[in-house]
Amino acid sequence: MGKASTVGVIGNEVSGVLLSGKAMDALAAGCGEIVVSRDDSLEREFQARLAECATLAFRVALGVLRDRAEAEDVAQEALLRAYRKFHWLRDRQKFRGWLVRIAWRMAMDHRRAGRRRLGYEQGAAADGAREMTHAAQNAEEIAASREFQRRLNAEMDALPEKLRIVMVMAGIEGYDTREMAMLLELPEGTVKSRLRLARKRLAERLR
Amino acid sequence: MSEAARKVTMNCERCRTAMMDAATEGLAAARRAEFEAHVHVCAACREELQRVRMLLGAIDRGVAAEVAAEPPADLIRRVRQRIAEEGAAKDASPLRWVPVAACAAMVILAVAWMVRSRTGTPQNVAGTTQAAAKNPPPSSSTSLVVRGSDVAVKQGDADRKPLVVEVHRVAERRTLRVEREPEVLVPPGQMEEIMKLAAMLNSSQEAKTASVVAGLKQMGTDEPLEIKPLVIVPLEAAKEDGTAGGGGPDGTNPKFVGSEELR
Repeated sequence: MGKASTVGVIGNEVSGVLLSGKAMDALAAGCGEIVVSRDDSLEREFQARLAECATLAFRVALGVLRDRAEAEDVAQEALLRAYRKFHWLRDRQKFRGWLVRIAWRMAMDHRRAGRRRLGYEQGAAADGAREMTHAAQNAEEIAASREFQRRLNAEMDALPEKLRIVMVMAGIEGYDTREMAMLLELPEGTVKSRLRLARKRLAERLR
Repeated sequence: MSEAARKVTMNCERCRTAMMDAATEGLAAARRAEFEAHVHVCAACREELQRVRMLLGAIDRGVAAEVAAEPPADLIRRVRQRIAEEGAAKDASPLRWVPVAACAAMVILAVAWMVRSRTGTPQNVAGTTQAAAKNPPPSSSTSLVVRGSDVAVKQGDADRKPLVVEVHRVAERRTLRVEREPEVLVPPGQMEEIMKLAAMLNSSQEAKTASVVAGLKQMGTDEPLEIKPLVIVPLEAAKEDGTAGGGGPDGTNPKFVGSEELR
């Protein structure tokens, strides 16, 4: 019998029903009835992806905000938004990239809102430089690395958004431009050129 | 251009200009060959290239360090808790059926539109489907049953699982006869009178030229309908008569008079 297409509705929201042509024919030409039942397959699928991708959402938010507490809040909201809209995502293989874009957009909005801006400006350099300071040999190097990280963060913030996101994703995912291209839904050549341009611009300003 | 010629053409100034592109692998093949040839013989440029590469490495490490942190262990648990809370809040909300009802209405209207466009017969599906399904008239030109109430009823059976809407063929074929009826706005409580008037008009026993409003007034008193034409009196006639008042309070400038007053 004709079945409604794309009508799995997560949670309790029914935003719309798209009936297949066969289903519409059944309703129009013969006798039919509309039945709404429950199916938890979408819920299960989302829960599995939630476990896989929560770290990714958090790191994307951290790349923008550089503040753990704010990144946690944004990541949580991004995952909730993804949950609410999950039934609209036709190609579930694109979930990671979709989530990256949601988290990125929400983090940018959060940052623009300016909440706790001063706090992260001052604290981020110290937090972000933690890893670099392990390699530093003495107090001067530590101070230099912190200063470098502060300048790097400032220059990252000054980058155009399309360059900045590839830099952040490169930091998260390594330098697998193919994976980044899939996540950002861009041609691989575009990702490579943007990454090259971003690194060149940062190097020129930090030189 | 030969290898020796390339060495000559690339000087230190051009080499420094191309340094950043070379370090980020952005040089074209021909220019890169020139660059490498120069760096091979120029210690200063080689050292500068090394510094640029170290700087790029520091940038990459610095960016990676910013995002290397692990999320809190309870992030997933908190998200799941929020999902559960949102679901519970929606279950408790009296408006939770609104989207479902709107959705069902959209489907029903779409089907009604399809039926109308296919058959060319006027259909009244959205508003009367339920009633028609309960009391199907004997004759039919098009059959259609859309049980909109099932949407809400069946959704209420389970809790917070995703919904799947399906369209099933029903075994019992029910009929719905819809004919175009005259549209009359009926004031509350006057349906019976309206129906009597309609029957009276259809039976041609009384004057059909009466208006519905006049007919309603007559229905209450069982008096025969009477048509009273409205007469507009010319201004000159009113002035001559002088008694045909009714316009202003002093009766000096009447413009319109009723038929009773003229007599």
